[in-house]
Amino acid sequence: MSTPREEASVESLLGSLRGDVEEMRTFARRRIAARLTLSVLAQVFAPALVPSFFSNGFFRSKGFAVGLALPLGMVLGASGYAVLQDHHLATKPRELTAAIALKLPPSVPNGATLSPPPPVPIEVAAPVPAPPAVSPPLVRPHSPHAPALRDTLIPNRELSQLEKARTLLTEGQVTATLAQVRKHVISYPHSALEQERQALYVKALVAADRMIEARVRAAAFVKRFPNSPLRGSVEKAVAVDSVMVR
Amino acid sequence: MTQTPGLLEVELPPFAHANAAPLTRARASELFATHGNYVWNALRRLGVRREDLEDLTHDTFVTVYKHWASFDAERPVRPWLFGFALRVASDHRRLARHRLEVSAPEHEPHDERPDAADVLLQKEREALAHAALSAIELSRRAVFILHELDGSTVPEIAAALQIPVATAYSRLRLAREDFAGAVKRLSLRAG
Repeated sequence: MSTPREEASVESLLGSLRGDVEEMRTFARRRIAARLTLSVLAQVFAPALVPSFFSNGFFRSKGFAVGLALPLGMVLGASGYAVLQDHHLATKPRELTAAIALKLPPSVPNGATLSPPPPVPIEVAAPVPAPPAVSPPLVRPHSPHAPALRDTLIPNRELSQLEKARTLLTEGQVTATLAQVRKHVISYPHSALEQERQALYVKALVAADRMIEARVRAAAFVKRFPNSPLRGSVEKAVAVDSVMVR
Repeated sequence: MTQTPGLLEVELPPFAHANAAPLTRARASELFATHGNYVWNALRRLGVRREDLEDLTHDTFVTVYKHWASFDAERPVRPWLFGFALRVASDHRRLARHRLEVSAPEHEPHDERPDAADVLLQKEREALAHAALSAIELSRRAVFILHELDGSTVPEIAAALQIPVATAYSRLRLAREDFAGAVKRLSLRAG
């Protein structure tokens, strides 16, 4: 196994990152679920019902959270976090004895199980006109000390031409793909999408059964872009005589 | 399951815009149960410190619930969630520089297992990968994470982050260069 001190392959490090997925601990998950319940209440109801410090971030304070735990526990009891009826967290069903029960529109059966829920299509109750889009705001430069960054924009036409080639390959039109890539080279000889173009060309050659040429071009790609994230897919394309979509 | 009337029963009004599909209790719970881990790891990858992960995961979902009505059901939900995590992480970064909180370094006990050396090497590799990821500027890192680690397509990323597709491609390309450059620098430095 190579050591980090050796020149690490970008692709292998990406694989390492992909595999590094942490599981939220049970206690953290439960705390977040309980806080989400309180946050919802604070957002929706009059301040008289819920102390304002739930909504102004004061609850975030670790010290306050510890001090709040005792009196809160008397009100919500052990079922506090189960107010959301997150059966995924509870070991077995419990009755709500001293808890705030949220009565929502009866669109979901009370006994609906939530664990472990696979990703499901988002349900829309009824066809409604599209509301004004409230999207996550764009990320603004977050530090006044950071150097001014300018993205080098790739012209739409340059991009769309290469996308067209990609689509042609997906549809199995290999000859048209090769022609489209050659056209792209003529139009944009110094394209910012050089790596993507080269990788696509190799795959198109494989699809056309021009394996010798594909391997030569793949070797040239690896030599020219040794650390490219596309290196893995290029090497894989020429490793076996796999025939692409025809 | 028998539900005993609690001390306080309240009718929860739609937690969304008028004329929009309300976020039901079941949906809110399912959203967190299904995607809580994803948001947690997204924030990790965006550079949020371990001690802040719980707070920011909570903040992200509060924001998600508020904007639930804007979600386009025909699009994948995770890139959309990532957009909110990115904003929360970005805002937190702005404020974190003003904090004096210093967390104690984690204590690693001595490992006696026979494969301890391999485990250590793997951990060092992961540390190198994370260090290289941290070297990428945040807006580029977001596109990089979504594409290279989560497998989202560039058009999906562009839609989720509300940026032009060309900008998304450009940021991805620059992020790849930044990552490769950081790997090289860190490898040379370590070697």
